[in-house]
Amino acid sequence: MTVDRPISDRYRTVLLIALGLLTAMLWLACMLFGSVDIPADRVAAIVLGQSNDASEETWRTIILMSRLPSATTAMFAGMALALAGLQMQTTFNNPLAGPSILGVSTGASLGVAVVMLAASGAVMGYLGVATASIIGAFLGAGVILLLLLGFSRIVRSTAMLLIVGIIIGYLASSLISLLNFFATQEGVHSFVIWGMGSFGGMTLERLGIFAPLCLLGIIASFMYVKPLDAMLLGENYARNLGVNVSRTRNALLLLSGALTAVVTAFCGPIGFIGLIVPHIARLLLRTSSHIWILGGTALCGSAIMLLCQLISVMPRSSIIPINAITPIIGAPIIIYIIVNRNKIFYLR
Amino acid sequence: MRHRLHIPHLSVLSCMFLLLAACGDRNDATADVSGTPLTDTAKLLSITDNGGYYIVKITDPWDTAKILHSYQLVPRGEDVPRVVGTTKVEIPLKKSLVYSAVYTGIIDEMGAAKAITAVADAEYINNPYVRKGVADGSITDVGSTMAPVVEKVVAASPDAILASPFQNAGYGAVSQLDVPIIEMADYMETTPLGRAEWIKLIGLLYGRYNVADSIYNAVSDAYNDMKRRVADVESHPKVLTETMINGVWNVPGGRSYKVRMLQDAGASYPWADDMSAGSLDMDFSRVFERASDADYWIATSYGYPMTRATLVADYRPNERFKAFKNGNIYTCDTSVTPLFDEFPFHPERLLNDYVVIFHPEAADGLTLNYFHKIN
Repeated sequence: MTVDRPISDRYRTVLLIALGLLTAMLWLACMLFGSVDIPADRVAAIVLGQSNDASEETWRTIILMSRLPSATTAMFAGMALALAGLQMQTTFNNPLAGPSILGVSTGASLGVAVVMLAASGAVMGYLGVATASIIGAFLGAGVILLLLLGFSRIVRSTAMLLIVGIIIGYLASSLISLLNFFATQEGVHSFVIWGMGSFGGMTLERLGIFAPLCLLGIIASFMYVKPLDAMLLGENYARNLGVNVSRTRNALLLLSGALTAVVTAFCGPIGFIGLIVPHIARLLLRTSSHIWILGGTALCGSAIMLLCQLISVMPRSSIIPINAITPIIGAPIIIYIIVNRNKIFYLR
Repeated sequence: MRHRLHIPHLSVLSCMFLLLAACGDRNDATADVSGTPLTDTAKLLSITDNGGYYIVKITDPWDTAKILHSYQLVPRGEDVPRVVGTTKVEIPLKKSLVYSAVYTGIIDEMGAAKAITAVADAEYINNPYVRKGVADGSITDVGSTMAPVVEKVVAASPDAILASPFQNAGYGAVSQLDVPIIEMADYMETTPLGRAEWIKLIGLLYGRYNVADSIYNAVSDAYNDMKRRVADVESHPKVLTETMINGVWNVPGGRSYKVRMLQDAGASYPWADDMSAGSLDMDFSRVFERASDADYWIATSYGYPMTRATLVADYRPNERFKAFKNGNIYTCDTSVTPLFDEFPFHPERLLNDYVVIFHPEAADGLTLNYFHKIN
């Protein structure tokens, strides 16, 4: 393996602080700049609760009920997806693994497809389209995750489990195509929009459920630093180090699956972030040690997701779907990684 | 062996070629034959009566300098000179494949439902005659419009297919069959009466031109009468349309057909300054900035009745709109009301609803056809 100039832990700490600051700045930018121009001092006054002017009611609604939940959701979603991707890459020892590879997000899509394309209107009338699709997504992702865990008990080889996961994903996709084919135009339209990913449908009430769930998953991820590091060395080494490989594998599957399910349910299937961000973190921190990489991945994930959200509301006449932006940022990085695989630190 | 097999093929081919060439020489006329125009409001459709046959020209909606398709409608059994560059259609159609509920409804209204012998997307057609026909097998269901079952289309052997053209999309294998496809670009018209005038083409195709013409005149009179009712109103209430779906609020462009109808009903539209005829994808902020003070909110749902509760459950900030606070939201479940099937050829019925909603003071004797005030 070609090894570039090694860097010190001190440098890494500085880098992580810088990434944290960048994330905070991008969150602020998402609050300050949006599809509607609002002066920065008024944004600050509104956020700090110092605006009581009735003429600013419209701006208050936009900032507190739309921008605040969207920006905060983007921050948590980026973190959650990137961590899920990192866990998948380590678990499967595969640099091209990501949160969507095991079909968990496809399962969520299937749940939403059932709600939007096949369920009776009564369900949507009772819960509202958005709530019904969140529940559908959770159920769909949950079923796929349970199936995977079931197979994980039977299939010992990690590579085989990956293949099973991919096949389950294909099965779910084919069911989605079938539902789409027989669905109404209105249903297909809503489903296509959902599939493009968005933070714009988030409200403060939903953020109240979404953020704690994400936070729980993120904290749990940091508790798996040691097992993840052991998995990096391969299953046999991990076993020698006293790690219960199959239990760890199941726990990581459950954790990354849950993180992916939460984000997909609330924001739609957001691609690329989970796949590319761990690589960016490895490139920046020049290590694969999870004590550094987990933090770097979480912060890079947030920063990139916030940047995508910022770009999506920038055009004057329309909005750009999130999933149209992530590959533009992601594709060049993936190609760089494939070309320069040797330079990236997959081992400590 | 190879030679012996090839020679008969070649001779058959050359005979056919000669025959075709001979036919062409005898009957062809020039493409730009002039006749009496039968249309005036539609921008994408021109029909001329050329004495003995009709020439129909459909303009390409995506490049209005081009012609999308020209047809020569020839009364069945009559021998008239062929016009070069046109597709020949023998009228009246006896057997036709209809792709959309919009057309089945109006064909039935003209009394020509018997000529509908096949349909696509049958499950979305609510017309009783068609539903009954599909159920008892007298009308063939060829499957989805996006991918019709070609064998069923062939078996139904329609005289013509009524389909909607989409930008840069063909008609798949169906276009390879020797069946004329009538490219109904009516949905791309920019004015309600322009779209309604396409009824004349359907009338001609089904041998009901006079019926179609009188329906169109009645529609046009009723529409203009409705427009006159609100011509002098002093207030022009601001109207917000549709709802946000998964973070995207799709509003009609300022030059669109839908906005034209709102303005004809004496309403003002928040994006009237926009120059596009299509639709705009917006986020909540942008919609709220311009329309938070809208007086009315017109929204449709599909498959469930929209209520104040579903609007809040969908997206809580919806309750911040003035129209929500005042309760001035009008809605319609398009899965149970024939709004989408009817308004293309009966825009006066939709305009009627708009006038009743926005200007009750000018709506004496009118009642709502499709919409109702939200619960």
